[in-house]
Amino acid sequence: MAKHCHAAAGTRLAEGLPRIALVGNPNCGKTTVYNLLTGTHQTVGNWPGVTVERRSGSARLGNEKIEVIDLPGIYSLLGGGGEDQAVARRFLRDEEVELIVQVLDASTLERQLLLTAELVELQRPLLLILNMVDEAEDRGLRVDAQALSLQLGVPVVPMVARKGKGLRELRMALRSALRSPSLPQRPAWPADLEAALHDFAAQIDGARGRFLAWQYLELPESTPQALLAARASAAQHLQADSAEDLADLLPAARFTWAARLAAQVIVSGGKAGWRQRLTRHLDRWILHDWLGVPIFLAVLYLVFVVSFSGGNVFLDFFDQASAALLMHGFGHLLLLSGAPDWVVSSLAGGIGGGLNLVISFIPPIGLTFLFLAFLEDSGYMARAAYVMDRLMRRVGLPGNALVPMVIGFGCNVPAIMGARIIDDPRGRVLTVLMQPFMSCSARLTIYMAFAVVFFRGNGGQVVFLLYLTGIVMALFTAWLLGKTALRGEARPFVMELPPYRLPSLRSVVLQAWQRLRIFILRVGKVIAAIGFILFLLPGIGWTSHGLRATDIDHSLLAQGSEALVPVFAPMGIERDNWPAVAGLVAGAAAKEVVIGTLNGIYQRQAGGDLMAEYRQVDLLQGLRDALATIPENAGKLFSSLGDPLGLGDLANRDASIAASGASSETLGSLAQSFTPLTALAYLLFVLLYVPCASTMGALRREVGWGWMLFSIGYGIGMAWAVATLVYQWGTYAAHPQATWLWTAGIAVALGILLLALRRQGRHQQNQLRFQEQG
Amino acid sequence: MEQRQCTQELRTLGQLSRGACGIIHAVRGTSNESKRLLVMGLRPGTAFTLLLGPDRRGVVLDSAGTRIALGREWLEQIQVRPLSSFEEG
Repeated sequence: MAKHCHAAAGTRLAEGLPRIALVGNPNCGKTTVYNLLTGTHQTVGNWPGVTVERRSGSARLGNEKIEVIDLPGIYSLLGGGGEDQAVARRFLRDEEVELIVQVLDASTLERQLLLTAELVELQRPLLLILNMVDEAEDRGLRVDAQALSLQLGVPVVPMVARKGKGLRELRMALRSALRSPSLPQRPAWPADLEAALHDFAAQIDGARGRFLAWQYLELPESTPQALLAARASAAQHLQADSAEDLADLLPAARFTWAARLAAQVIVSGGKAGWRQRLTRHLDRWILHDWLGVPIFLAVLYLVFVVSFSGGNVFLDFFDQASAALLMHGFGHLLLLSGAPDWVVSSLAGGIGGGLNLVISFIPPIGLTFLFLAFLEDSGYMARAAYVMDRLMRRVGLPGNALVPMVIGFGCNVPAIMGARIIDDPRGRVLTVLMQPFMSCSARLTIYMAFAVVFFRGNGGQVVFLLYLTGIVMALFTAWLLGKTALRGEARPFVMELPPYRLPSLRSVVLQAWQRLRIFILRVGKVIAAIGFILFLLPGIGWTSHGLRATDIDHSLLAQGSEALVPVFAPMGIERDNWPAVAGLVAGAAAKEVVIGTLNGIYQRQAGGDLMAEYRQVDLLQGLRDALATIPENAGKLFSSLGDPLGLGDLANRDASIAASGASSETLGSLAQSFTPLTALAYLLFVLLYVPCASTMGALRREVGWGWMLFSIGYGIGMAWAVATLVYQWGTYAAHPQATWLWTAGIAVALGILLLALRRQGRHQQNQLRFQEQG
Repeated sequence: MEQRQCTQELRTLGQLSRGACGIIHAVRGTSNESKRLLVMGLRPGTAFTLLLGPDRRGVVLDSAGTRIALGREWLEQIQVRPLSSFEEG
């Protein structure tokens, strides 16, 4: 436990920089204060050893620079909540910081003071920010900050962080608190409790003895062996005059203290204002027994439509401008410098092409993050979780699991990162593992190309079927794992519903930018590296003289793909259709490159000039064309609101070809290499196997290597099984025996998987039991 | 002036109706579950008002100015004493 914290200590922004930690209940406006203080000077990483986001930044207090750490929202230092709250607890208990700054929501002061009661027992320099004083006033409450400061012996700064009010005063108070830190006054606990704490704390080593005495008394299971006797003595002393259990007696003391203090510093008067009335009225509809779910689906549809239709306005600009600069312009420069063709192709086409791919995704993904941050800050997300809880519980998931699923239709990466809104670790892992099956927009380009050739009359239905298959497989996966390896039930729902608020634009933009930055940096690296390899493989191959430059039919790509073709034979891929396998291999890196790979292979096979795009380059014209796409796409925005995925293009052959990005050679070759049935089996495989390297990277970050490897194996296995079953039963008349054999083989494999997962589940439960007993 | 007084009658949260006020008497279930309520400010002795429900999802209640949504599973686990209102003076 302490190891993580010590490792975290090593990640100071700069040695010697004073460090303050922001702490507070969820929804108290802590992150808004953090954004106000640090602006864009923020770094986001992970807390060592866990997948909880670590946010820290630098702030200026006049001439001084300080480091600000935004700890995850926390209700108590004595347990409760998910891994994120455990991280905050460990930090506050074990880390060295110059000042702890607690942000309190002034409108619910009494409850917020419960955390203060625990923080003062840490006996570390403390400063309180009384945030949302406007909301408190709207509830008819005025908090006397000076009286609170006198009672606690620490500075108290009233603020409305959302509007930036009180920032100057906060900076001054921080500077003064850092120069002359003051320890908070301990509450006057009942005499017997005070005596027990005092005596017990005297037997605990270290600076936090007093707090640890609280912890061990309230949570006996956390007491070290050496202190068991001392704890028993303190407990006996405390319970001599009380029939109450310590687990009730100690919180009761904090609740009483918080209630008394709140009564002393709150000047009541007036009635509930418009904000309270608005929240009450909105909740009647938004949480309505029957209307809650349709409203939630409508909100999600709106987020989805605005993100993707709005994103499409800028997508072509980002795509074409980055292609002009990073691919064509860069390639041209390399050619001019005399670089050989393969270097130009690998660097400009591979790395440049990979970066181009990432950059073109910035608009829709950025907008999704923006809307999610808006919904989170507005107070709606907590309600959405409550509304969907009953339905999602049927597959063993918490209510908020549906939010990432819908985001997954756009891109699986933000969907996996979005699963952080789920505090139950089991529910979070299940939700993350479902995401790869949600059909993202990148897969649509492949569906389009195949629909043009094979399903011209009913392309819409086929694509809809593929989307539906993805959802069914995602829910099946959650159900299967929930009954085997991740056994258990979603925990009973309990969540605070903050009042509705108009989020601060600055805070929403900063939150979205931080998430987008992670996406660009981490995903960009992976795609650029894979793009380089993919452009290298078609140009070199094993010959009798070793590894040499060869034509594509004898390249490593062809050799590797041909070796893999027999694996795909049961789903109808024939030996000479190795480009289809190459497309799948490339698609494991990014689905967007499947059609690109097929284009490249078929063009090379047709003897096309691959260097043409680097020879004659008009960079300015390319950028002008890119710019022209913005007004052009904006004109189409309103017509696309009813069809954010662009499925309407399926009715129009030219539009479909354009949307798929496939060349006419590619479409011609597809028609020769597939039948409608093998095309359907191929598309099902594309839908269900590994979505892309970035998704797997995100999965590893969120749930670890083990589950990432499971997801890869499980996804490929399921994709192969479904595609094989479709092809085998579609051609049953031609080979009934083989069909039965393959079906039986798949059933046996599924049975083995089921047993292995159950065993894993039992093993984990035993481990858990052992840990609990130990 | 309206005053409120705790009744001796024990009920489950699910037996109250919308708009009712009460005081939590006990939380049945594991200590982990009680702890989850405790950190949200809900423990024996806490006063609350039922804002929405009970319905198929559960309830939304107000306690010390905080709105808290509780799923259906809690309805039978939380024992409460309803508060009755009466006019004084």
